[in-house]
Amino acid sequence: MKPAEHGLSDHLTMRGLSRRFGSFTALDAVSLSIRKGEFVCLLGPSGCGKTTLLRLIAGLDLPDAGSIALQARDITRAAPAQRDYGIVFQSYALFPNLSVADNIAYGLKPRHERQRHRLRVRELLDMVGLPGAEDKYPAQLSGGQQQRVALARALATSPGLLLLDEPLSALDARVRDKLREELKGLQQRLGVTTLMVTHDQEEALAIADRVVVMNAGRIEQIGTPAEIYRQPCSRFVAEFVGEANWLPATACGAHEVRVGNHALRLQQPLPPAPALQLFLRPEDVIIKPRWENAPNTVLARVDNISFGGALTRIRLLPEGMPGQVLYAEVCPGMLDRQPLVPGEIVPVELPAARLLAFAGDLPC
Amino acid sequence: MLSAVLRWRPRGGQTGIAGEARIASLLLWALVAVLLLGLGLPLLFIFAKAVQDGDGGFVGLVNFAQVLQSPGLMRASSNSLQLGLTVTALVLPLAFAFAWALLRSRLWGRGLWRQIGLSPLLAPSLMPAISLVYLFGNQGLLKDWLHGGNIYGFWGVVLGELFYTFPHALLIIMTALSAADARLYEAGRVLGAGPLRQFLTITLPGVRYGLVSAGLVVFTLVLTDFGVPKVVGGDFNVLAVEAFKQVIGQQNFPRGAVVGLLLLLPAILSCLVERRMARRQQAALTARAQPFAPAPSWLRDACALLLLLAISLLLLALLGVGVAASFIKYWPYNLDFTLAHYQFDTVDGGGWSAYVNSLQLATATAVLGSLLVFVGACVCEKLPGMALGRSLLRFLAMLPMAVPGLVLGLGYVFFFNHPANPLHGWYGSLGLMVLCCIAHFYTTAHLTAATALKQLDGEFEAVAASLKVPFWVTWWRVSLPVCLPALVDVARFLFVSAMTTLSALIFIMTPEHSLAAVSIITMDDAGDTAAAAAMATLVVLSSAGLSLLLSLLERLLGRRNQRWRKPG
Repeated sequence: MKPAEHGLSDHLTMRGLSRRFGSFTALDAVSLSIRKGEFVCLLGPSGCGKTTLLRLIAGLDLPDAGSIALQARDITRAAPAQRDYGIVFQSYALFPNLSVADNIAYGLKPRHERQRHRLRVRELLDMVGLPGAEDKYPAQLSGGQQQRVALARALATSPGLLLLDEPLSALDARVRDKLREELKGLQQRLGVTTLMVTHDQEEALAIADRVVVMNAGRIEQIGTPAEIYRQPCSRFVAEFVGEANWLPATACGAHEVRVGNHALRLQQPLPPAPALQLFLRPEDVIIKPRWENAPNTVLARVDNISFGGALTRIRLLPEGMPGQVLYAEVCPGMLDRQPLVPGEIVPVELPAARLLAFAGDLPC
Repeated sequence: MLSAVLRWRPRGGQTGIAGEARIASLLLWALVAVLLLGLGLPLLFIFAKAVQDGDGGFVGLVNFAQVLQSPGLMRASSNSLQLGLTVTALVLPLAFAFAWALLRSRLWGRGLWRQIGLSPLLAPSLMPAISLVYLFGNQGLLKDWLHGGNIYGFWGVVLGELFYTFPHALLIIMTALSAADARLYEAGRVLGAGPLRQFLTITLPGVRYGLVSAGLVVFTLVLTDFGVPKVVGGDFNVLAVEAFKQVIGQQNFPRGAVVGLLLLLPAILSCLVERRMARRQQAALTARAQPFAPAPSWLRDACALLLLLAISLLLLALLGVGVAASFIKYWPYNLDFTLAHYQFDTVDGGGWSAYVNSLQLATATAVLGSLLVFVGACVCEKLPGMALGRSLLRFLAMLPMAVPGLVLGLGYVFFFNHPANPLHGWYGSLGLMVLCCIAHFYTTAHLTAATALKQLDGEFEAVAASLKVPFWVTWWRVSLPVCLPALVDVARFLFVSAMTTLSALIFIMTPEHSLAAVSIITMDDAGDTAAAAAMATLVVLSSAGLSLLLSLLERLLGRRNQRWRKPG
């Protein structure tokens, strides 16, 4: 992890931030630290408080309680201009009547040093991959190009912190993927501490050093993308991030559960509740070539095979678990070696190391 | 909040930013103060005057009782009511037909028809009255049509008010009609509804709100208009003229105040009704609506053309006869061309100096008013925080809609003419009249500017703040240029309104500072109808001229801005 090797102290620290709108609690005592040069994503469904948190950091809104410190300076109630950040919005918010160059130079001071500004604008346009666009107007640019200009404008004054509010959500899927990669590369080159708000989990996992999953005004989990994906620490995170199989189970022993007629082992200890839900990613389901009497192995009927590009999705009906559907995702190469036909019965392993158990009834 | 502001200051080198917040609140409260002075306090003084006797002692509701017991005033009230209802009932179908013919046909030259339909806006309400006198008066061209009847009275006033209120109704109904969703008509056609059924089940319900709103506006306008009844009313007395007589003629301020409050009543009522309806209306047109485009149909277009022709002819006649008569030696006996009526030396009313005063007033109103309105709308829409002050400002900006000019004028008399008022010396000056005009027409201007500002991205100020650029720089470099077309509209509206208005200004002008619209009344009163027609023509020409000039300016600006307005 990059920030660790920098070994620098926290760049932005939030302590116990709360914000209420009438009876609605948008943020409930949220604490978070971001290290210098780190790329952090705030991820969550709409209404989870991620945008509220960003607006508090930007000074566009004031918290009811708690504090924010930027480089050890308290900025909880400072005006936006007293903080040190650049911001990019989903709507780009480019000034329509100003050329690209004027947009980017909008915050450069002093205003009369045109020559210096021109150099800086050229440098920034090269950086975001739009060389020579100085004299165009925002209406003449595509969405992706506008977002690049907005990024250049936010970075023009070399702020210590970059805030991104769903910057890629308004773009086409293809443009979004490309821009996402460039954004990450640019952030690493400049080493600017970055906080991005998004509701797109795929985007968050792909771009962030650390992901902060939020729900109902609280932080559910903070971790690297791999931790969030593989070790979700709450049922909400497990359901919100990625796809999963959910199997209703009952506990019987410290590491053993019963699902239908089967007993399954888990590596991790079980939560103290009688009713459990087992969690397993589709790509962790292993379809075996032949039956062997191994633990956590059950027989299942192949119900349906749907091609999905990089991964093929197989709908399985495990025997001894009436009504339960199990999805497996395998790479097409594996199917070449071991062709499957609907109606066929295959042995399936649910690896103990990958199974997680959460308390509660069926997920919605 | 206050402690937060205090905490900012000690930080060295950042006084500019604390200053920004201070300037914002200073701006806000300065605007509130201007509107309170020009609107709030005069209105309060009407209420105060209504419960005082002539010497300023508190008498409670005695004045109200006196008005209720005065047969003349009660007759004037019932006349006003009758007039308002008749004109509203007549103008709504006419304006609806005109709007329908404009928007639901494929006729050529719809821009021109629209201009004709709106042309009465350019004239003071006295213009149709004067034209009516020329057409049907004692020496009228078409006097025989009346079979010995008389234009002076109820029906003369109705005709004049029809002309005067028509464009106001037209504007509102056109807006309602143009917000049609083509998908509804397609669905209707697919389900087998004929044109009549489509009209009854889709078109009419769609403009219901617009019709009611237009009706309320027309009713209020008629009740508080003063020009038409003054010229062609004859013995037919109405409340608006009565208020003028009480205050200016008899100097009976308390009774004038009561009559003013009576006139405020319908305006406030219609405002309340309108707000209620607006809340219910909001969801009617969704973002996914398809604009309606009429299908070709020669029969419908022929009907539309006839309708437009008939109504336009009436409008142009009422506008044109007055203009024509002003260039004619002696109507209707000697029809030779002359400019003699434009030499106002021999008549009362101030003549050319009144016209110049009006021009100055209209220009100052347009320039200062646009500036004030733009800054006010920016403060309302674009500044963060200061919720209390901003809602106060918004309330004051919406208030003039509910205040007829006549009532505002009364308020100005009571407030600024009060001997104890330190601004007493300002009474009768051009500056006060400018303030009065801006306050009178503030709501429409504010709404135009605010609508344009709302279309700007809400994050502009946030981005500017993150770049440490103060808000006024962003207003100057971004908001103003982008909203310039709307501001040109505001300036045009303010100029034409200030040029043609009579109701508020007649109370605060002094003979030394006469105005064009007022001098028309004076000249007509003195029997110099031709000179009155000439002055009215001057007003129409100036309004039309400025409108044309601003249209050219707009086109010029449009060409310069095309680079950033149009993609590609």
